[in-house]
Amino acid sequence: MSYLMNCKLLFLACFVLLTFSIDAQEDLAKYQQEHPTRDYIFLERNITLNFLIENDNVVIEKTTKERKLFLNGKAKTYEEESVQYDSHHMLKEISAKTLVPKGGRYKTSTVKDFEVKKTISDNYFYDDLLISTFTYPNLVEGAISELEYVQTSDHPIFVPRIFMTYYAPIVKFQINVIVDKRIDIAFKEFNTTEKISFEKESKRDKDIYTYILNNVQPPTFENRGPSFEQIAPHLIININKFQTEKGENKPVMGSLQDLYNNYYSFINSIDTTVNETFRTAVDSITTSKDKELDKVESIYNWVRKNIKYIAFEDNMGGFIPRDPQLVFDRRFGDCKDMSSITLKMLDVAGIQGHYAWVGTRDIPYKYSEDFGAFVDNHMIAMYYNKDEKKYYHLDATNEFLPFGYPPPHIQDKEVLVHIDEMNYDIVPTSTVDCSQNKYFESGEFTIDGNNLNGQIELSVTGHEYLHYQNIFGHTNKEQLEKRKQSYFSRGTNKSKVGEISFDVEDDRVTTHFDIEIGDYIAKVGDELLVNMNLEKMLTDRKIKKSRTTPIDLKQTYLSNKTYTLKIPEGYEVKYLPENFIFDDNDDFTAEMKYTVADDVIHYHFNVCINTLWLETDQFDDWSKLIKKLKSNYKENIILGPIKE
Amino acid sequence: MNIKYLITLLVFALSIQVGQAQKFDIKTYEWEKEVKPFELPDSLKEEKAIIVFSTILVGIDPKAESQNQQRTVEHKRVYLNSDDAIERNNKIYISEQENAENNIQARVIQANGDVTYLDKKNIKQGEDEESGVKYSYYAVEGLKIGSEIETFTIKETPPNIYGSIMYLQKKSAILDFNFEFSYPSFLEFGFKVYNTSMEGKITEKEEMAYYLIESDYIPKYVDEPMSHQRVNMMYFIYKLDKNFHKNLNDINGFGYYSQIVGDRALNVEFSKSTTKGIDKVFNKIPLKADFTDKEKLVGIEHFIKSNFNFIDNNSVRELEEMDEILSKQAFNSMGSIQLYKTLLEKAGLSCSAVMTCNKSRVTFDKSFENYLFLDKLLLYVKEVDVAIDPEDVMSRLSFFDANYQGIDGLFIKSKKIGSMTTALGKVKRIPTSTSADNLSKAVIDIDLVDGFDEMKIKVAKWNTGHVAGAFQPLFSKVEPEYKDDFYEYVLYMHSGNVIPETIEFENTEAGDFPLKPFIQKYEVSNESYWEKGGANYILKLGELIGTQSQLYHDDSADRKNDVFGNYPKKYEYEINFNIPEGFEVVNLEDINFNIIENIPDAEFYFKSNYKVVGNKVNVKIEEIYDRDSYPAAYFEDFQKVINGAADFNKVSLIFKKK
Repeated sequence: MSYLMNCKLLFLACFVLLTFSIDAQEDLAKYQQEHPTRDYIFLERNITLNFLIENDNVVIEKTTKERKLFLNGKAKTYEEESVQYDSHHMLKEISAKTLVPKGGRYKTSTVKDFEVKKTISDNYFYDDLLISTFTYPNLVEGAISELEYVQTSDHPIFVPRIFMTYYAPIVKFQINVIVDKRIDIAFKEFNTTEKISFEKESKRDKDIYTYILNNVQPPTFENRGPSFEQIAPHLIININKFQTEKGENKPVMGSLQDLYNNYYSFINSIDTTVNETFRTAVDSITTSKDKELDKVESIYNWVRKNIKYIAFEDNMGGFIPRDPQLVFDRRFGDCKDMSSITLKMLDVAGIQGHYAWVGTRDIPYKYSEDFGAFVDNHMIAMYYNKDEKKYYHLDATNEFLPFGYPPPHIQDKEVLVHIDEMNYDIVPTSTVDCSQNKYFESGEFTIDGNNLNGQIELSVTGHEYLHYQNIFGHTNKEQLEKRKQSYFSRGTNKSKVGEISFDVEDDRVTTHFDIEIGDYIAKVGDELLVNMNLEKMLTDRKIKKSRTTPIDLKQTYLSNKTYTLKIPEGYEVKYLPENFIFDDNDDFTAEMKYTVADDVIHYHFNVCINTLWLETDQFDDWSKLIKKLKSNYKENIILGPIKE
Repeated sequence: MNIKYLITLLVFALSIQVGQAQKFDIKTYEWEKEVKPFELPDSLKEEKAIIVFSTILVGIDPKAESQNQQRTVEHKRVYLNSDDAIERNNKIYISEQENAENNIQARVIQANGDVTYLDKKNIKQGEDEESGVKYSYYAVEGLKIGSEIETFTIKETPPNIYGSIMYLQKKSAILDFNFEFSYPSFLEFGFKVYNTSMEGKITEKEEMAYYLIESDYIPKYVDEPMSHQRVNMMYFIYKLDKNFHKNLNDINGFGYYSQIVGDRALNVEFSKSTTKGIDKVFNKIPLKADFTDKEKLVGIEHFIKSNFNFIDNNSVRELEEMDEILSKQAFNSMGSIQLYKTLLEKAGLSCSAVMTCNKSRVTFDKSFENYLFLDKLLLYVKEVDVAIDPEDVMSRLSFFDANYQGIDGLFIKSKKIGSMTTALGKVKRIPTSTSADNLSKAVIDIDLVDGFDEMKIKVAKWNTGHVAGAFQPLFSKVEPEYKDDFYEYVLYMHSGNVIPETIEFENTEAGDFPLKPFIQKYEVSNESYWEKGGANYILKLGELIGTQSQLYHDDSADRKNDVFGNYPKKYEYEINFNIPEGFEVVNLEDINFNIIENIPDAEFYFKSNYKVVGNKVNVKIEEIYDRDSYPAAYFEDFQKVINGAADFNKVSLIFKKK
């Protein structure tokens, strides 16, 4: 390099540094004004995915660069920083520094120590997540932190997604994708408002794609709304295939078949040998059952009750089910292990079952849309009943999910079902009809002075059973005494709940209790006012006018209340509230009815919620329902002395 | 506050040569090779889990080669009698465990006598990201109802001589409990047992002392509402008092501690250039000449908390060097005392350091001095008679965690004796805020002019002190994408499930708290505050004050523990409504409540009454709890007032059609 060239470079470097310094100093005041509530913003985020071929395999290098500007004196509280990674995306390089403002310029302090920690996960009992932690030196108001790290992966099925939004505003966000020409990739956009137009530059052996976004704001979340993945614009890149040294095209993740082939490799090495104790256990579980379906139910019930859920995410252990004998001996396992033991137990009983993969409802992708390895995050067992021509979901991870029900969090999704080495089936999981998730309450009431006294029977099935048992399934007498008032009181919190009795079956719980609702009867002269709406369902579910995203209702249900009220001797009905039916929308209906027969008033109320999502175009109907309910909840029965 | 780094006294390091070679029992203790299943007696069949035995041995060996001179052996066997117990015991976490492979053992004993041993390769290591505490952990295999899990762990750590707490009681009954603490006789330890008549005994043998506390039955702890579970459990504390070889006395004494705080924080002298730097900072604080002492204090506290960062690490000495504090805008606890004291004194106010402990975890006992009671730093300003929390960025004045108020603390102040400046410590009561400070006030105007269907309700709420402190300081910090959710949450926390047509918050600028009240004004219409019975209407007046706590179903005769109400508070509500033409209200007298309970030196009541002028009704409600806690003996009185408010909550006025 010539002397002249060196001088030019030096000059250019000084110029760039100087320009940057002055701009940044001026920008601080501007950004402080624009973001008065924020402690920092990103001046820049830059993500580069580099697809290379090494040792006849695709290697993905992800480089993340970010520059944060600290806007106030709280900067020091952000000095501890960390980068997370796992065995699929190892950390190759990391560097960080602080640019501290000093006299209109910046003084650079470089981070020297990075410590790798193994942390305990909140979500899994054990995972292979590691974090590299470090401390930015001298973070003060106006300082800029710079971080750059490179992660590599030689698992080409796990290409990192690129989200085009973040948790703080980004002034400039740049995506670079560099691809060896021997690798064939496909871009898939999600939640983008307009198509991403990459600038493409072709070099001798590489294609380079660049995309720049300016002034990116964090997404706004609404309570019970869609997940981050469901609303944040993002990019998924799949590797369709690549050319090997021999010049052959090797498929990676270009189709659903590719995904299935990968999954098949996770299950075909499971050791399915089991010992005599295992077989004896299966025999004892199924011996009294004649029908195949009954045997399947018994096995599923045994697994959900006896194998405790403990989750492991350990390298490829996060994908490969453990051997069924091991799960049987340990008495615990994660979703894959529950599938493994369930299927082996079915097998020992002479019944065929299937491994299956599914994504939970917060994941927005479908198998049919080829979204690669991000499409699912859960594993279950499936059983096909030939007589009914119907699949049964066997997800034993929740000990209270009754047989025959998919868990609430995989409804309305697709399940990828293993058939054999090459074949699979895609089975849609429909939303469970509200009539299957019952919350039925019946009660017989009498008036005693100012009190309303009654005996109540409460019966729950399906997903209502699941929730109910999650609350009461493990309570002992003492805990029940503490909880019963808050759960079973009706009318007012002054109501006194008597002894509770539970009749627990595998798919239904029936509960009985007496109740005394003190000072509940209003008296106007010689008339008695009684409001039979002891619980005012859905009144807290009014939707704000400003709401813009759908509401996740999580599950369907049918709530049914049937009460009788004995008319006190010497009294007659003076006024009965009007009946109503709300059936304007098929996804949510309600009915309230009062009738009188033989000195008894019959009150009947039911609500059916038959959708998982309340879409924005249903908000008006929903508001009508809530308004109607609120209005009718106000209505009292009037009883007065019989006039002779 | 991290005492480990504050105290530099090497009590043991200096004593090593003196101790005699001695083989402690603790070193040879191990679990039995043969094990038989426990037979559950009928009397325990209802229990979820039973601790068959629990043996804890702690031994101090001053001759140990490393700093880890304390060895702790914990040996426990739990009978699992429910799915719940299985899930609570099938994952075991052990903190600060070195050499896990040799020091952790576990086995599962099945009802039929089969025994499965923990495979050491299944022990995982990890760190809690938030606390930084390292754990060894493992999942226990083969657990069923009727199984027993037996665990045996050994830990070697530096000795904790500045106050160790050991809980004797658990949420399951213990059938056989043993705690033995062994230490060389040249040390003198103090022991004190709380909430039980059990007592330990000390024996000495061959220059070793043994403290043993044992029981063949410790009942399970049963929680009560509005009580502090941990301080009500049976527990004991032990701490080192003397080292005869070093001739050290009163090792855990508050006097010595006060000296350290004096030397490192209260009596530090600054150079001229440092003083200039302090002046520069002081001049940036917007204090006006006519400010009261309280306003000055809030101004200084607000300035420091907005511009400086509290780092809870007393091992970083630069965080208590004033020049570094000023340039880095950060301090540790010793540094915070210096900065606050210097700036407060420049404004004409004084500053003492106060050390105390969380009253929900341990009771400050001045008769048993040890550093366990000195884990939280507060600063006391005499002129305003208030303690502040320098660590809590959001709090101002006394509106910080009430668990550190209304209890004893060690007040340490600078004192000149002749030409010497020293520091003196004295145990005094930390002031709490008053009920008038923590006011929740609301004026609710109901417009029934156009009938019930068109009912409009205007609500204006004023909150001060602790009641406002949860949200008011956050308004200026909320990021735009969370603003709507935050507003909704604030309203929900104060008013329950109302969705207002309009809402306004006032006094939400940084610095408004706690000098200006936090005001919420909103309007709701046609909410669930009324019902209908033919031509008559029912106004659910009581519900307008929001859901009230209740203790309807708690038996006062059985109450064992004092009642903790967090902080003193006062509620004032005013409800105004009109009686529409053609109606009369038949039960206005239901509004009148007058529940005044007599607890010595405490104002404690729920009162409500009304006035009628023309067709307008004005209701006034007042509820006061002017103490933060009440003795168990007064639980019934407390219950009456709480339930009085809950009863008012159910007052419904009947508007009868004339």
